Amino acid sequence: MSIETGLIRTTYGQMAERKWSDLPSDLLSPIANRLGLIELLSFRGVCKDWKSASTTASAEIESLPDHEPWFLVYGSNSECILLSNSGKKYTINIPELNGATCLASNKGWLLMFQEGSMFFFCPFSHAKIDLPRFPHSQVTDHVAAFSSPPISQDCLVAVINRSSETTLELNMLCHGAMVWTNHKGYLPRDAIKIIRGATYHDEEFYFFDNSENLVTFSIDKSWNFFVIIPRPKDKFPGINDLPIGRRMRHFIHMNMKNELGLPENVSISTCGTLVHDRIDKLVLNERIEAAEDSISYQLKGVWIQPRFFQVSPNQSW
Amino acid sequence: MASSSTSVVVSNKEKENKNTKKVTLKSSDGESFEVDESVAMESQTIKHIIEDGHYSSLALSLSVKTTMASSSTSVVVSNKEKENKNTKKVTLKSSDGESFEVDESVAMESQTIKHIIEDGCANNEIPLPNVTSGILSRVIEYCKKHKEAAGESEPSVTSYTSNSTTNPLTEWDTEFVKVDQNTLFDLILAANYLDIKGLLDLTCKTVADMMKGKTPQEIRETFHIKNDYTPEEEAEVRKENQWAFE
Repeated sequence: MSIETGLIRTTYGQMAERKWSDLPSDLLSPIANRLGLIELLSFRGVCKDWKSASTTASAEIESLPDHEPWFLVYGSNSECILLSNSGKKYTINIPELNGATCLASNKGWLLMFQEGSMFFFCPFSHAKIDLPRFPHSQVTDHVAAFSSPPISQDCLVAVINRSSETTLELNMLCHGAMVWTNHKGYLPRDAIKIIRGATYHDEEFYFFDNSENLVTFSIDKSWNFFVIIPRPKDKFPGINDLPIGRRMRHFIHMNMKNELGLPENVSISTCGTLVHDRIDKLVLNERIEAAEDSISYQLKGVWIQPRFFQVSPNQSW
Repeated sequence: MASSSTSVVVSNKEKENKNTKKVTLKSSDGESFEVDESVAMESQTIKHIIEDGHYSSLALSLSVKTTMASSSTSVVVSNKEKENKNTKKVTLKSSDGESFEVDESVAMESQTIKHIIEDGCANNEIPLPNVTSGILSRVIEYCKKHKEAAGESEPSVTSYTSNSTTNPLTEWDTEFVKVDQNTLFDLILAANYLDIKGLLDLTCKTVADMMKGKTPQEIRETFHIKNDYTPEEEAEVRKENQWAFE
């Protein structure tokens, strides 16, 4: 109730009410642009003007360094569990994830595979961008990365898998292209075990395994093989700085199974993402087995930055 | 505070004894500044160098660029001297007829005012029909504080023990926006009209923070907004956000 000196407002908050609704929409936008995901959803629910003022807001504040990613569990029908970085749990219905597998997660976008079709997806806004059909009808040990958000003109997507003991197969897609290009990499002996993480940096795709091996594929189509060692005291030729750190066993270290309230007989395979923690660090993919192997069921999970991307319905690749 | 008390000390010393011991500070880009030793010793770093005797009688090399060194020494040495110079002033007139005289450089924190001055339409008094005196005085306070902070590009040379990585301005800003809703609203409008980016960022961030942890209905109550969704539209919006507020 606002009471002006000498005047009594008979209607609750009438004077104040007029003020905030008078805020022009070009001033509502800068406010909306500074909201996190949950607050943005709230903002959009307030009234029509506020909703239309938020069309360019995407909860970008969640991208700030030292904003740890959230974790989304999916794979058992459409009911998904979301755990925020502050430990709050939510249940969301996301039918698009039903029967799909996430191959990559970066800056709030997920790269999903579903029976041969590929699409970029933002689970919180349900924004979806379909990609040209993928050459494989199933994914096994496939790991992927993309260079930039799918709406950007220079988005490059790379999906890698092992096609034989000595060969890596990489399928790449450039923004706007209608077909995937195929590139084979011939592995030197023991070059890499199972690929557990992929990311893009400075015109090169990086593929890591669980120990110390690294394979890179640059946009000029050349493959390189590395071993990661602790930084030596002296610099000598043939040694480069690794520009990206790794977070291994992050799901385990963060005690996620417990935090999510998952039962012991659940096995979960996770897809990592790139986080910023002083430097860029790649959270690797993990496979956590169930405690007992009888009557266990499989779930999938992904580390994700909570963003709210709004793309027009006719947005195409 | 250190700077104003130091300038008092300097002028006192100048009165007492013309032959005060001097040191020369040389910046990284080669410019030399002769200052009283006592003044230079406001810096603990320099104090230790002097006490340890590790310098020639002519120069102490500092890894500080000219502009920074000069601003800190000028702050340390002659804040009073600056005040006596003829800084250009402008008069801002609020919608309710009150006039505020401010340094031109402070007023130019507002891009709107900056353009008016540069276009030569100032005539020394600039009317601001969209800003009341109460808000204008606050805006001027903000601009003064931020202009001052920009001028002192190094943190105080005397705070040797302070290890704080937080910008001291952040604390001041936080206090500055602890105002009632109507004032905050008017500050946003003023920051937008006067085109003061920092103030607009600060006030918008404050409003954004007020929404933290609130449901749409709670936000409506806080800001006195009417729900104008039709039942169908409401259902659609619910579908989008229900999971976040269950």
